[in-house]
Amino acid sequence: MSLQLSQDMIYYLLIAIAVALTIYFLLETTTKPKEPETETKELLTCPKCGYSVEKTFEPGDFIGMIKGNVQNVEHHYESKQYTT
Amino acid sequence: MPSSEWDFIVQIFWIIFFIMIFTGANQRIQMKLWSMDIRNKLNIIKRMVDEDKEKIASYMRNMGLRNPEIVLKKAMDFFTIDPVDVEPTDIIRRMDHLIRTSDRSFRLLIEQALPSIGRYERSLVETSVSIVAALHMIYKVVRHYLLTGEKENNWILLMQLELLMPQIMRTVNTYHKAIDAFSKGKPVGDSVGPLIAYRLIESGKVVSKRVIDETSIYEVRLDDRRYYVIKAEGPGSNVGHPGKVLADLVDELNGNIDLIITVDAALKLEGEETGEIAEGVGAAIGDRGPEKIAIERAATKYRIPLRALIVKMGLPEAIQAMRKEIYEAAEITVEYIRKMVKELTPRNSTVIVAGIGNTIGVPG
Repeated sequence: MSLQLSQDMIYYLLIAIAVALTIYFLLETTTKPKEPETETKELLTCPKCGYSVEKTFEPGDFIGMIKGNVQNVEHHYESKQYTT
Repeated sequence: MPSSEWDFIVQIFWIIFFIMIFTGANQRIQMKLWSMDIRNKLNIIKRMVDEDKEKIASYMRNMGLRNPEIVLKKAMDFFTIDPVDVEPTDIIRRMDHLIRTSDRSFRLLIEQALPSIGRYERSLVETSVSIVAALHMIYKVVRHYLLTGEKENNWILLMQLELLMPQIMRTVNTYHKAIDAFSKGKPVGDSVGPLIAYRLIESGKVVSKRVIDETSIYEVRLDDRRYYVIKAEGPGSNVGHPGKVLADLVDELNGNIDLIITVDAALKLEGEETGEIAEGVGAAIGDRGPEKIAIERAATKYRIPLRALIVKMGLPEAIQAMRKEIYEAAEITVEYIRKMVKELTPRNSTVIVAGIGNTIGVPG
């Protein structure tokens, strides 16, 4: 009687392990790593005084583009850097 | 559960198992599962193609085109037939002719549809349309193999397609995301070559500039040497013809050049770092043949040392907006080139540096 009971216990344990492993592998293969959010930025730098400010990219901008004046000074901002 | 019932279940399971093995039903179930999975992924590709097509169509509508669908349909079915390769005589000349004719025809198609827009905008439209066409082609090919596999019950074909699907999906995602950079004019990873060339031009004193065949040639005085810097004419989406232009320049200078350096983006192997710089020998240019062979022939004709520098990156990084690591690698490469030239050539020597790649977002 006790032998029968322990055999049943082993069956149940094996079934539980099999189900747990199946669920684990299914989850492992279906969950995809989330891609990091990216944003393109441009670093506007004044070649004369070195003052720089980071801004969000605007369509049509390109590296080396002259983009307005530095505040209160007659220097120009030059688009220097793009990052994502 | 009593053991007799358990034994009965196990026996039924084995009987079903053997019936399936002998009748091949297991293969049919497996085939059905593969074909369902491929079909789901194909639907994802279709959605991406439709989304990108609509994005480009609305972009063209904003530029004044009434029925962009007609142009898009024509552009998507546009093809170029490879030259005959069983007879290799003249193959480079024939290939060059076909590539140029194909480029010109595609440009003309967009030009006729949008005659009033500038060259910069037109180059962005051209490249974006080419990307959508490439995506559409992938969709058509996957659909073809899926339908053929289903029609002929070819489980090997379906299995191969199923195993290839993750790679195909990655490529499709990469192209889908690249549309953003190319439609807005953002510099991409492949622009690293032209960016290095541009930084080199900025570092020295420009003596002269000319544009031949959509490719800029700058004569620059830098570090007591005469540099000829070659890059595609920017800032539009353009790769120019750096090989042909370099070869003509070498001939024009009667081969009086001490060193030729080509700089390009190169696909990294898995495990390598993005933005890694490597130095080697040869022509660093990823074209189909005509441009690369022109550089090799020019260097060989006059026995000019031909050095190559590459900046490593993955395919997604090469055709999507330029990452900070690649931008920083470009800055380092400029210093690398200057040091290399100082070490390899005496003062007052002449050096050619060609920045290879798409110059989108990089002027000059």
